Amino acid sequence: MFRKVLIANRGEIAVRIAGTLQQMGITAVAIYSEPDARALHVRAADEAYALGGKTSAESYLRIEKIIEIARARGIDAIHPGYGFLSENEDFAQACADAGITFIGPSPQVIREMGDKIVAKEKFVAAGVPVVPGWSGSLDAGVDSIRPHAQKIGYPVLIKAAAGGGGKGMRVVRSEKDLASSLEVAQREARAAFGDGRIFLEKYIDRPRHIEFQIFGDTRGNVVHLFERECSIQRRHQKIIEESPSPAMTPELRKKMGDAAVRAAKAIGYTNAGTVEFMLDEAGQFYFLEVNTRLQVEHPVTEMITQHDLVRAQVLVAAGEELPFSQDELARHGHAIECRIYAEDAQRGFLPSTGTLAHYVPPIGANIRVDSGVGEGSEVSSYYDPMLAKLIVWGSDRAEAITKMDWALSHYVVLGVTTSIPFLRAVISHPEFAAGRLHTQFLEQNAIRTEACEPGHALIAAALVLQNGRATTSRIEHAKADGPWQSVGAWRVR
Amino acid sequence: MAGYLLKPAGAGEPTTVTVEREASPGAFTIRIGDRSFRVHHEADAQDRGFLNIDGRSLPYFVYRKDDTLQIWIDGAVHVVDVVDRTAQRATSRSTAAQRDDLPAPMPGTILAINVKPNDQFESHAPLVVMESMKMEMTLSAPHAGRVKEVKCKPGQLVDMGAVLITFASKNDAAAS
Repeated sequence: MFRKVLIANRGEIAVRIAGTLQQMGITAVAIYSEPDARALHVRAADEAYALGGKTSAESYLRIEKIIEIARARGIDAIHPGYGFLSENEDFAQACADAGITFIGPSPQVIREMGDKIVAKEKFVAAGVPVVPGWSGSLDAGVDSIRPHAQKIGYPVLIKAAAGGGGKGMRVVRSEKDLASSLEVAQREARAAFGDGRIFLEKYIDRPRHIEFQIFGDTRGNVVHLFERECSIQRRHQKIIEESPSPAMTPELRKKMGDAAVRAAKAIGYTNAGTVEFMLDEAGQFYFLEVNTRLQVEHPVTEMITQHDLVRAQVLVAAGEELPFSQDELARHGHAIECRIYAEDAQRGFLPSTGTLAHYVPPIGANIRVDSGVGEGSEVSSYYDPMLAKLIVWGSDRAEAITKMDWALSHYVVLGVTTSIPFLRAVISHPEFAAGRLHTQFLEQNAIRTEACEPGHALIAAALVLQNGRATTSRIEHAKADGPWQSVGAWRVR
Repeated sequence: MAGYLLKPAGAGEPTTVTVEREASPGAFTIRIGDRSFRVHHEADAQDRGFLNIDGRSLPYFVYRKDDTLQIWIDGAVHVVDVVDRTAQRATSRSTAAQRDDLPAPMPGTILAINVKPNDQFESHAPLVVMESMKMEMTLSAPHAGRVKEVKCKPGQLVDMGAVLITFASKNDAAAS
C-alpha cells in the first residue's frame, strides 16, 4: 500500500480525499497556489507544498512542477480529484514516467475517452446504443454536413469533438440556421479547445441525464454502482444530483448497467469512472460520454451503497482487487446532493466573491457536507465558485427532499451570495417533487425564490444597528456606527 | 429611542424601524411602520445572537458591508440597505422616529459639559466630552437645536446608553 499520496487539487474534493487517505493510514500531501495558502485543504493535509501562481494555469495545471514536488517529497501516488489534471493523459503519463502511480485509469483510456468521437465509436462497437448522428471529418464545411443533418432529421445538435461544458455546442432547429450555427460552433470549439472538429447528433428534447458509476480493477473485474440522475443543470452544469433516479425501473437499471459494464470491459477500464447517458421520454437511452475520474456527485453513490469510493480508488490503484463484487453491491434508500455555489441566481448565476463572515453548515443524522471552505475563507475569482456539497439521505425520495429542505434552511453562509435560496426553490417545485426531471428543467419551469417576509430581518437589523458596535464584522472592520455617529474627535489619554 | 430607515432588497420604499429600550435588560419594543413587536434580544457577539419574538427564539447572523446588511434569520438570507442609519436623520424623513436626547455611546466618565439648559447649538457642535477605556472623546450634536436639560455632571460615571442631555422639542421651542 502507498505510504504517501499527493492530492493534485484544491477545495472540497482535496479535503475529502485527504480524509480518506488519513483514515487508511496514508500520509495526505496537499499542494496549493498563492491565494490558497491558508485554504482548508492545506490545513486538512498532513503536509502541504506551495506551487506558486494564482490562476489555475499558473498553479494546479503545472504538470512539471507537481511531478517535481512529488519526486522531491517521496510521493508514491497522485490523486487528481476532478477537474484540473484529472482527465489529462499527459499528466497520467508523466506520473507513470516518474514512477508514481496515477490514481485513475490508464493514459490510453483517458485519451480514448477524452476524444468524444473515438469514445462513441468504442461504445458502438460494444453494442451500446448511441444517439443517431454523424462523426464529421476535420473542419467539415456546411455543404458536406447538410445531407447528414437531413438524414438525422432536425432538430440536430452540433457538438465539439474535444468539447465539454457546453462550449462549441449549438442546437439547429431548421436547415436555414445550419450554416451560421456551424460557424459559431467551430469558432467556439477552436477558441476553447484549440480543436475545431465537430460532430452532429439528433437533438433530444427534454432528456434526463442518467449516469452509471463504474469501477474496474487491474484483474479484469468491472462493476457498476447503480445510477445517478443529474438532470437539474444550469449552463450545462449539474447542480442537483440524486440516486436512485425517479425514472428508473429494475429492468432499465439492469439494461443500462450491463451496457456500461460491457463497454468498460471492452476498453479495459480500470479505477473509477462514469458512463453518462441521455434517457428520453420514451425510456430509450443513449450513450453520451465517459468521465474518466471521480465525479463531483460521487457522495450520492457513497450514501446509497455505503462504500467509500476514494478508498476503493486507492486500493485498485495499488493493485488490489475491487473491495466489492456486483452481487455484493446493494442500494439503500435515497440520496440527494445540492452543490452550494457562491453565485447569484437572480443575476444569471454570476459568481460572487468575498470573505465568509459566517459559515455554519447543517448538522444532523444522514446529512453530509463536503466543504472546501470555513469561516474566514476567501472566495476568489481564480477558481470554480463551488463552496461545498450538501448531501442528505432518506429512506425514500420524499424523506430525502424534506431533509434537504431542512438542511438548506439551516445552512448559514454570509459574506457572499450563494445558490442556497435557489436550490430550496428548485427542490420545493411540484415538478421536482413529482420526479419529472429533464435537462431543460430550469429553463422550462419558473423557479421563484420565495420572497420571505422581511419583518424578522428588519428587527435584527435595527437591533444590530442600535447596538452600534455590533455592526462591523469581525473580518471586515468597516466604519464604526450607531451612537458612535455622535462621537467627534478623540484622543488616547 | 433610535430609528432607522431600512430598505429590504426588492422592496420599493424604505421602511422606518424604531427601537425602544424597555426597563428589563434585553427587552425592546420595535416598530416597523404601524406594526409593533415586543422583542427580547440576546447578543452572542457583535454580529450574531438570538431574538425572542412572542416566545419564539430566532437565531440570527449579520454581515455588514458598507451600508448593506446581509442577515440570516429563520432559514433565509435577507439583504437590507441602510438608507439612513442615524435616528435624527431618520426623524427628519419620518415623524415615527424621534430622537431628542444625547446618549452615552459607551460606559465612561464625564469630563466636561460645554452647554447649559436653553443654549442653542448647531449640528455637530461639541456638547459633552467624556472618557472611556482611556480614550477621550467629544460627543457632538446630532442636529441643530436647543438644550432642555443637562442630565449629567463632570466626574460622573455613566453607563452606555445613559441620557446625558435632552433636547427641547419643537413644542417646547414654541412655548418659550
